[in-house]
Amino acid sequence: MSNDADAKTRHVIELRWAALETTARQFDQFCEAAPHVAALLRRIPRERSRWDDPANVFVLPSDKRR
Amino acid sequence: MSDLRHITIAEAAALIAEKRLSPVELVEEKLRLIAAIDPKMDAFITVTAERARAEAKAAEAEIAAGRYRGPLHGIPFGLKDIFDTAGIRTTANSKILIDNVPDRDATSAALIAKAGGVLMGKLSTWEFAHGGPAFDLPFPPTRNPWNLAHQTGGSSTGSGGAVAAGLLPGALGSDTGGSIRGPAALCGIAGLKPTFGLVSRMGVVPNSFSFDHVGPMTATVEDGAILLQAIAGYDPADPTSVKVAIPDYRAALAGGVRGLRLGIVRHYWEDDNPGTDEVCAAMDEAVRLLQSLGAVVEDIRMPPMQAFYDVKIVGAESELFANHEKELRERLGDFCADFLARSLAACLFRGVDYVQAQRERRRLVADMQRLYDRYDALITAGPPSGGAGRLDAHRTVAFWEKPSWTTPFNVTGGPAISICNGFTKTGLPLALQVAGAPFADAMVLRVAHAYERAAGWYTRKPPLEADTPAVPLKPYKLPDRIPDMDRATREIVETCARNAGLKLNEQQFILLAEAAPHALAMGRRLRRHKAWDLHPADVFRLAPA
Amino acid sequence: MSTDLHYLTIAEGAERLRQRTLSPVDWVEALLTRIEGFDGELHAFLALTAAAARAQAVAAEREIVAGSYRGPLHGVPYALKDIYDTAGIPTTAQSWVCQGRIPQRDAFAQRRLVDAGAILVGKLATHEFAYGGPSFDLPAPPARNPWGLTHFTGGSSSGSGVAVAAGLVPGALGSDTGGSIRHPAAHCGIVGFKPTAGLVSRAGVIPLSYSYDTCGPMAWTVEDCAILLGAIAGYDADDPQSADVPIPDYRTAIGRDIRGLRIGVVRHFFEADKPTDAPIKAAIATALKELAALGAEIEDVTLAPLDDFAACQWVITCAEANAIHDDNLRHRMTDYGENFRYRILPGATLSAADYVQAQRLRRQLIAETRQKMEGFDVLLTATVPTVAPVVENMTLSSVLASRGITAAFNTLGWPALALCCGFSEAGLPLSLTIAGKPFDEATVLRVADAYERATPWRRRRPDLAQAAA
Repeated sequence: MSNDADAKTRHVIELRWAALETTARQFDQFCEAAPHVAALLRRIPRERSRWDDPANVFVLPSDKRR
Repeated sequence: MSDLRHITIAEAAALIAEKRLSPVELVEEKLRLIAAIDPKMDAFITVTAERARAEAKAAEAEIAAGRYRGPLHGIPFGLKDIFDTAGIRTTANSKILIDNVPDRDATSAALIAKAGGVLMGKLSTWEFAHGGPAFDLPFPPTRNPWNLAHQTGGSSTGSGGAVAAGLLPGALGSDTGGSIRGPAALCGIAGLKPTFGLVSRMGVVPNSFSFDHVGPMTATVEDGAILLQAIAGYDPADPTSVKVAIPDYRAALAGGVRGLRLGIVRHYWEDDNPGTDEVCAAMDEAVRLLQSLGAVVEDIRMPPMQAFYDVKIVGAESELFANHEKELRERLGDFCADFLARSLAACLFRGVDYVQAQRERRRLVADMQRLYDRYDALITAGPPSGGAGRLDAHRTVAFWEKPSWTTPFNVTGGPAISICNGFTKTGLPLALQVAGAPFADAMVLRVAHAYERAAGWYTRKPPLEADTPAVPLKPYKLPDRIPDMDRATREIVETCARNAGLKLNEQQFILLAEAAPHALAMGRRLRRHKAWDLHPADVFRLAPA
Repeated sequence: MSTDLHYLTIAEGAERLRQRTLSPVDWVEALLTRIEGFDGELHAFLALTAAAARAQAVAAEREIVAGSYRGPLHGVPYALKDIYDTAGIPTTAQSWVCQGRIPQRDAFAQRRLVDAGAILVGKLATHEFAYGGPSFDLPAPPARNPWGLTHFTGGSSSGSGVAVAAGLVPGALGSDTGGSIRHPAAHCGIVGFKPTAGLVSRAGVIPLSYSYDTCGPMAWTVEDCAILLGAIAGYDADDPQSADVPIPDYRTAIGRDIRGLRIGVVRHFFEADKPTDAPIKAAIATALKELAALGAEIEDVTLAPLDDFAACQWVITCAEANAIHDDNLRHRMTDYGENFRYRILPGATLSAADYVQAQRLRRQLIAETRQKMEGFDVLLTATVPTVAPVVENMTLSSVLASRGITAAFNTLGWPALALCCGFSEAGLPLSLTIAGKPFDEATVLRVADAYERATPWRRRRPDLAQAAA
């Protein structure tokens, strides 16, 4: 249960970081979703070639390049 | 030849074309100067002497055989040590890449080689074109040739120092937030950040995907135009590269400024990040000179410097953090302290902050259009501090405290060049910046060239000689106590660092904590209301199959 | 196909309009009557634009009679998901947050349809802001599935799916960020086409995710989707993503054979990566035989794991959705429905690095898939892993616990078309997806159309009387 309490404390701080105020019910739902979010984030590789560009690129307004 | 030390590319090219100067002679003289002078200033990480000699010979033979390639044929040049060079170590001045030997050339490096340029070596940089100046890197900080106790500015330190000292007539640097223009300004040379997408970034170790630019650093604007000519152009290997017609940059220099409308961004050096009296006086004089040359000048307002800075820092630090994420998690101690002082705080940026920065960037880029419509070029001051600061007086938190004079144009993506516009009483170079609309690189060069020739500052050269006494320096002090912070902020900082997988010792935590209030404030400022149809500046686009 | 005006396809209706054997006034009236009769139960519409529609129908009739026939959408009724801005007509995203919101300008796609002479009948139900649903705490109830009113419609373009399936309109526009066109198309037994990112401008469409939002058509047949797509595709400077590409005549893809076309079956999506209902797998097996019989060459292809595509989509979309809703989440959080809040809040605390890494993953997935696609003309996979569930049995937590198949083609940004490939024993529609290379909508339409014509599924319509029972 202390893990659970730790996680809740962490989520309180995370939402403060986001400057969002939630009701108790919304907060519980946020906590409930957290493991699913963690699972999704585990699919995102953190180790990749330094040459890998993001899919989005900066496009100047004059540039109609496709 | 006795005056090869400060010979420009244009001058050398004219002599080489007429076979009055041999590339071998020029390269030998530069190698001699490097050997004699570089130990004082540490501009080079690697000198490729043997290869340069061989290339010079080959160039000489080709030219003798009547196969002259153009104004870079037989001309020595250097590359910031983040440009990939096949078979030549490319370190980014980081322990992380200390043994890195690429198997390909960066596109821009290959283009200069194709134009006949002779690679003399790899030039010093702040770590990963970001963290510095630093005494805790594999290679020592480059010293300013105008005063060895002072820094060069960065991150293209070696490029700025080597060109100013006459060790090389030209070099390539990279500019994510000012890394070409900063050292150009503090070393008294010309540094051009071309339009985003004009010069390929392929093979240049990324700092930040959305803000990185590759460009020339030279003693004169004309030399910058010559180098830009060689490296500008579409490269399918760089997703940000743009297909545009490339004008004759050198030919465009002749236009002068008569009748051109110049927008003077006075509030940048008077209010947004106030310059010293010397800076302001030099700017007044520069504006008067431009006016006397026939330019129509008018004071104008750009969006606040801080607005650009927020966008750039949140965007670029996020991308940099992502690009180094594994190393930051696993070998944090291998980065220099200044790199960490800049980069750790990216863990405090939310995905939302990043997207808001991207949207704010679109707003800023769009807002500039009204100025591009009315003015041929914009004029701002160089470093507000005036001359370069002492290397041992560097403060790591300075990065966060004030907006930078260079960064607005990393955000706009338009061209910007820094050139010398005078000197401090203590003999250090001052600078002004000419900026323009995206793809108006030729116009920016033209205005800068007209000023440079009329003002004549470029003829002054630093006093550094082989017998100049070395100046031993102690490393600057790092902050040694955790700054005051309320409990809520401290919890956020600790939680974010932990969530990001950072394992910080006390010193590293102090570096993060110093940056934290600034970083969190940036996120808050970027939250201001935005219309739903304000898209991020970075766009997802597909090419047809 | 049908003599009932409400089941006329766009192609059929257009032909009759052109020949003046059908009056747009009659068609519109028939649909308004139909809507009046059934929408009380179906909740497909949030608002009707009956008066304007009648007036436009009269005008269209006059123009056509006068010989100025504009083309296959002239006089054709349609409806829009209520995130498409319509000048002077409330556009609410089915949210309390947007009650009373009346845009001044039409969305680009709406302008295109007006220019083509089509007739807007009304605005359609959506999950809140094209994200959270089904919800019962919004200004309007969720739309009901005409194949079984207790079953989920799919979303978020729920009203578009329902209205087309139930014969309330022959065609509609939806939007698709993670599957929001194809998911309701699947559960409602119609055709939903998410085109290539950049083909259709999103200007004037309430955004969910700048990097993922896509506008597209939903209709009863593949041909009707081709007709609608032809009208709304094309460059628009107001959408930064808009691609300046030539727009072919998509109808030339209709009625062709598919001999020799190479179809890559992404079998692992629905057999390994995502547990999929047996009837869907069986229907796909049958469909593959059908396509082989039509002369296509069929071969399995292995892409990256589905979860990679889905996680990438989730991170980018949810962070961007939070950026879009940041102001309102801070100042009026409780004006959002619970389902929307549940979905969006986790994105508020993603780190910038999470977002950038997802963007880098996206480029990697596209590059990898491009290579794997080289030997194929189109890909084929299941649209959704289940037949429409009963709404009562759905839980909030399943939203994040389980990702769909559709998001893969959002991450790729490539065209993907969902179409009916049979029915479950309970009479609920089954669906497969044909996806293609960027900007190769024509080949996707060609394969889907050939399949549709070779199979009987378009002859079956929902029995609204029985659905209510």
